[in-house]
Formats: sequence, C-alpha cells, structure tokens
Amino acid sequence: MRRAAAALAVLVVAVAMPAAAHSLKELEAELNKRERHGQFVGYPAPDFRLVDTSGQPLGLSDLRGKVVVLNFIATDGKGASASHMALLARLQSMVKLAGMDEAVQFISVAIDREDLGSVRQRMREHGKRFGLDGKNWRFVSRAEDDPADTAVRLAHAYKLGFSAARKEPQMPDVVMHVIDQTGQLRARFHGLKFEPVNLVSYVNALVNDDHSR
Amino acid sequence: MHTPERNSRTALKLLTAAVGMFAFAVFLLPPLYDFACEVLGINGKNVSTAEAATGPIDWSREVTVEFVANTFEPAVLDFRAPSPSKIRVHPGRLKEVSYTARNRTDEVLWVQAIHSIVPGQHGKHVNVIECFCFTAQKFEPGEERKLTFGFTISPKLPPEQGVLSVSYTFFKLNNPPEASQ
Repeated sequence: MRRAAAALAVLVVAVAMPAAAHSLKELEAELNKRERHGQFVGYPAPDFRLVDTSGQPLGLSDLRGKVVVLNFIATDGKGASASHMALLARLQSMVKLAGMDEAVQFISVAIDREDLGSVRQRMREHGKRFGLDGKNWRFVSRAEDDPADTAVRLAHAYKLGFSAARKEPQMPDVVMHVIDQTGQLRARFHGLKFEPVNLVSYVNALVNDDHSR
Repeated sequence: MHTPERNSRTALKLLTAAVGMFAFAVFLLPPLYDFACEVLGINGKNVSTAEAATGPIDWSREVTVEFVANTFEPAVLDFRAPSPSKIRVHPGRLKEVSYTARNRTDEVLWVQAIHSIVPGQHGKHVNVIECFCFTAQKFEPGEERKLTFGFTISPKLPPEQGVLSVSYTFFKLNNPPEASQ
C-alpha cells in the first residue's frame, strides 16, 4: 500500500514539477511576447574608452563581471533628455531595492561635441537633479584629446539613430542597452514607454544566470 | 431473455462493485491523498515544511535559508516574508514556503516580482520549483494572497556556504496587461 502511494507521489511530482523556473531564455521568450519595446540581441557590445566627470578613464572592458545598463544622452536638457534621465534614475532605484546594486553598473554617455568643461558641469548637475546614485552610476564623455565626435561615433556603433530635425547638438534615440557580464550586448529597450519592471527582470535574470563567475 | 436468477446475480455484482468503490473512496483514498500531500507539501498540508525527495539528499548537513520581502511602496502593497523567515534545510530536499501580499488600497493593483539569491554566485545552487516572479499579478482592492516559493538547495553547494538569502521584490506595473489589450 505504502509502495503504491509512493509510486503515485512520484508520478504526481513528475507531472506537476516544472523545470528550473524562468531561465534567461524563457524570460526572453516571454518578453518577446509582451514587451514590444524590447529587442533581444547577442553580439559583442562596442568597447569604448571615455572619462567620467572627475577625469577618470572608464572602458566597457573594465566592467566585466557586472551587468551594464548603458544610455546615450545630450546634456543640453532639450527634447527627451529629462524624461530619459528620470527613467534611468527610476531603474537605478528599482535595481537598488532588489538588492542588485553591487552587480549592476549604470553608464550614461554624453554625446555633446562642445567644450568639455560645460558638458561636465551639466553632467554633474544631471546627477543631482535626478537623484542618481554615484555608487553604481557614472556619467562619461570624451577625453580632452579625443575628437569632438567621439561619443557620437560610439553611438553610431551602437546603431543609434539621431533626430534629423534638430540642429546641434543632435538628440540620440532613447535606448537603454543591457550588456551582460562578459561584454555581450543582450537587449535594447527602446523609448520611454517600455515597462521598467521588464528591464529590471531581464537584468535580474542576467545576474542570476551569471556564467562569468 | 434473462432469468430472475441471472438478474439477481448481476445486481449482486453491481452492488458489490458499488460497495467496493465506496469503501475505496471513504477508507483508502483519504490516507492516500494525505500521504501524497504530506510528501509533496501541497494543498496546505504541512506547507512550511513540505519535503520530497527530488534527488540525492545530503543528510550530513543543513543550510540556513533566510527569506526577505521588499516592496516598492509598503503603504500600497503589504508584502511579508514567510514565517519563520529563516529555516534550515538539507540540500536536495524540497521545501515550500509562502510569502503573503495584500493590496492595501481600494483600487485594483498590478504588480510583478523579481527574486534574487544572496550571495549571487550561489544562485545557481538554488533550484526553483515554484515561483511567483516574472508574472504580472493582479490584486483586487484589499485582496490578500499567499504566494508560494518552492525550491531545493543543490548538494553541490560548497560546504563552507552555510547561509543563503532569498529575496523577493514587488514593483508596480506601469502598463498593466489589461490596459495594453
């Protein structure tokens, strides 16, 4: 009797038990269905060597082992810049609430071509205005010696378009790039209307699925 | 044409079968059901300590698992970790625990959870059997719901790792599924 019951229990387990839940691939398949602003890719993210507001150099290759959320922005405060930065700040706070701030690095690239002093000043003001936490967010721009269009060329390498109707400084498309711990560009979330939870869930899946360790 | 004697035999057989089925349903099925529920920890039977063998069990040690609940706005969604919030489990043994969430507002609430394991490098040693994350959850005004997390700890977890933390965080959805349909 007990043996028959055990056999029945095993049968029930076999039928009812799912495989290890929500792998990265499963989540991508799910988000492909329900997040129309998400695009899932898989190729090496273009590397860069830029400097932050204090002049410290920073390259993508320095961030191996972390999930990187990267965006490009013009710091002139026009167009969607404010909304874009507010969205970034919200994503950062969500990542922190979920306890992933050690595993995730946010990078904003200033694409402005004008003099670096003004750009860096505005970059610092952006951080304060939107409450971005410098612990895992860095605002970077070209270095003193770099050509003025360095960041613009990098944005093109990330396949970003620019608004043709605007005069300089041009506004890059609003896209949040998600780069995994090995430097692979894994996802692009377009515009301001995607569901923030979906991006954070995707980042969470990358953190949980980290094969770089 | 059946004879009365043959009809009586048939009726007796049917009656015997009916009594047998009744006896099975009344006397044998409940203990069988309870046994299955106890082993699997389903349907409220021994939920907090539900256990079932899902592979080799490491009886030589126990791992402490802590449960954490975070919410985007406690005044909107009351989200509580299982009680007790810390248990000890043999690697390889299935455990189920229940988080509790309650919509504290008088409006329909759409939320979604994500989960994290700390330390992160041992996330791969937590096999998730049942989870409520990555799925949009609808809460009616004032609704309270139990949310089950079922898991095993892999026996491959390094012996020096004695404590793991499982954290769930709920976020409010900007674009509820109903609104986008």
